[in-house]
Amino acid sequence: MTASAMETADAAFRQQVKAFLDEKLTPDLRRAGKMMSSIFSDFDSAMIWHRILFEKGWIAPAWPVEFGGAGWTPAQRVIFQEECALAGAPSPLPMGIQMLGPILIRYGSAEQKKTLLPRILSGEDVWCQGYSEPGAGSDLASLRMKAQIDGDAFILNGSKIWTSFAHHSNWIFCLVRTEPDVKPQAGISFILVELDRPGVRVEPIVSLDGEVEQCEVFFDDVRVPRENLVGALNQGWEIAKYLLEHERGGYSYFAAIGKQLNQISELASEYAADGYRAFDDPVFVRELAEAEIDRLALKALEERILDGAVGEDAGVFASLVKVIGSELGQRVDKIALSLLGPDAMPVQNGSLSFGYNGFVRGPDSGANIANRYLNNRASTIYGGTAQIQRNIIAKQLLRL
Amino acid sequence: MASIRLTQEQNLLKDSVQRLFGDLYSFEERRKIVQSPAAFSEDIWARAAALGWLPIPFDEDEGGLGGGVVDLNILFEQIGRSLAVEPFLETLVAAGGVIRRSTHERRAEWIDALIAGRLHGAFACMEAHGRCEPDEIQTLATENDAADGYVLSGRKINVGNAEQADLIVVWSLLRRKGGRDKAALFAVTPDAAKMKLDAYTTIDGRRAASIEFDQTPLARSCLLAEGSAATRIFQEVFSDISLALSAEQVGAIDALIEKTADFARGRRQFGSPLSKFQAIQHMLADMTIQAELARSLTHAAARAAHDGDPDAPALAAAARAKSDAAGRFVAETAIQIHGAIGTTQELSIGHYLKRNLASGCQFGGYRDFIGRFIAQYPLENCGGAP
Repeated sequence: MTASAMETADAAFRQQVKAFLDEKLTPDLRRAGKMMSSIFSDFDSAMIWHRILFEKGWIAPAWPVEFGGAGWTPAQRVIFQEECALAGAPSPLPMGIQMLGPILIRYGSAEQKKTLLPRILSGEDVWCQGYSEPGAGSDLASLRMKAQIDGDAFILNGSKIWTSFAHHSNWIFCLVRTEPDVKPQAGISFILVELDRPGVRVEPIVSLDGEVEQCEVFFDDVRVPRENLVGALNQGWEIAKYLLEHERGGYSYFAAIGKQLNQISELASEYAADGYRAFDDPVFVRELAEAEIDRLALKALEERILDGAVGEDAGVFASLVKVIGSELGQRVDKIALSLLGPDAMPVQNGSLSFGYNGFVRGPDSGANIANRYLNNRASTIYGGTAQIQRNIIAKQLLRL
Repeated sequence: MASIRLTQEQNLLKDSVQRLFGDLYSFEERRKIVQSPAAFSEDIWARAAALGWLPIPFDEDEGGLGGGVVDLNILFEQIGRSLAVEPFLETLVAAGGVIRRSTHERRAEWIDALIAGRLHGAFACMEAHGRCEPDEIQTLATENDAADGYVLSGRKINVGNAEQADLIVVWSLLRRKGGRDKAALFAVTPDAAKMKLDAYTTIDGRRAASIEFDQTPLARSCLLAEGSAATRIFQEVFSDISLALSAEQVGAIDALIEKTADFARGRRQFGSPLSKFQAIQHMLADMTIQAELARSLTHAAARAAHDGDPDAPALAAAARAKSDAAGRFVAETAIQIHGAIGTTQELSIGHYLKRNLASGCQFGGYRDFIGRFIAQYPLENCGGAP
């Protein structure tokens, strides 16, 4: 296809996405999407939206068509994410579709693909990610949870922490130590565990915003069959690295930041109706302009990467985008918070739940801002801290 | 999504520019050039003409190469890298940009001379109060029968290449008899009467001047454009200047990161190369982050200008603001990593900072371009309009 034919096709695709969103996004879902106070939607709206996308065949934009994916081009995936963000759609949970799916497609057995992929697509199975441990955060290779071979089974002992949505999940995928006496990276395997197996216990963790997203998961002599191993024994680190790149690279930061900025603009117009005209405030306007310029720069950078302009450096550029996107997101949170001013004082968690239409202190569109500010402090920590990303940039791009 | 990869011709241009500056523009060589009376190299200028860089932005039917901002940006990235002081911005982008957009009867003759390297230009744009925007111009040309033309009065500052210029383009107001003041562009030659140049050496080693027009008589043929045509030409040329200066900063940033990373690998303190200290690694990572943002936005803005995108002027202002701030941050951090030696004239590092400083004085600095962005961009739709 010529470049201009491709642009025409992309424009047509954008129209198709817009029409679908217009039809399917009910006011409740739209509000739930707008009121997200983390990168995750609340569980109820995430699953409702998941099923709507599944019925349309759009739940897995990046999967190959043969496994039930949408088979979209990278450009189409960005358009879809941009339009969803702009329309205020909730986000389906990423653990199954974005993280485990690509792993199973790449490393899974025929049986795993056949039984597990369809249940990820339909939303029948809800997955969580068992990566970090109390003693292994950014230094993931030091993880200690053990899997001992016992006949045709593994016996699991240890614990996982920061497992998002474990309290709503029925499965967890885990990195476990299967070989203690080798280089740390060489003795790790990738194992799937049903959370209803005897010996598994899930404890919720309350975050700063008063919500539960994270859990700690304990494993006490948990027995799982050998078939639950993904890839080969001790291939876990390679799989983890593949997944980390998917986790970092499969997300468009500029679209998410665009959504935050849209909300600021909406909030400013709601305040203007009350008599506070933020767009007449030169300090606010300058902060907003500087953030918008950085979003435009980030958008151009993400497009360059998607276009293949950085070649084999794409992996380390994922680190670059993660630092820029997470830190810019936090900066935009603070602009929103300063606009909200005194209205950030009361706790309003109840008003964020799906279907709520009662009283909100301050403009309705601002009810999630204080919570998101608090929650989003995690964005420069999860998936490798901003400092780890800088180490990666220094070593892999600058060869220091 | 528009592809941002270079065409074959653009890659050839890049090689040619890299080779010439690589061979002839060492920091030592630059030092000699800066200390010469003209403060630029006639030799480099003649080679730029011979190698076909001067025809880049001009149409093919008038002897040019029909190149756009993307091609000019390739040239300016290398200029930024080498700290080249030759007046490509003033002659090629500014004066040349106004001439080629005008309908003046001597247009073809001037373009021929410019492409051949025989005509130098300058752009008297900035008012004495430090601003260039159309609604802030005070320099005034009054239609005058006795002079059979116009009489020009006002003061322009920070006019680069003014002493060398065969043609000084002046951005002013025009008052016709009985009409309202409107924007205008004039071509003034150095022999004009009642025009005074106060020339000086700039903080980055170039030459510039303040120009005082005190009832300077101008023939009718000096008028290049007036009214909305003049404003349109000014805006387009100012966008090109913004993009060229952005590209220059991107090139400077690349050079600074390479030089500083090399220095950190070689310099040992406390028994270890500086490059092994995490504090230093993170500073260089931050420099790289700013480099990639500035590069991406500059390329996107050049592409938008090339495509005639309605957002192009706002994007050019955004790119200029971003690259100016990034260039400043990277140069300051490079000096910090180099330590005391980075604060001396001996090293090229500090000269990049001085270039950043000077280029922000010539057509406006960070604050001016943030202001331009705010004025031209629908900030109520920030984040991308739903």
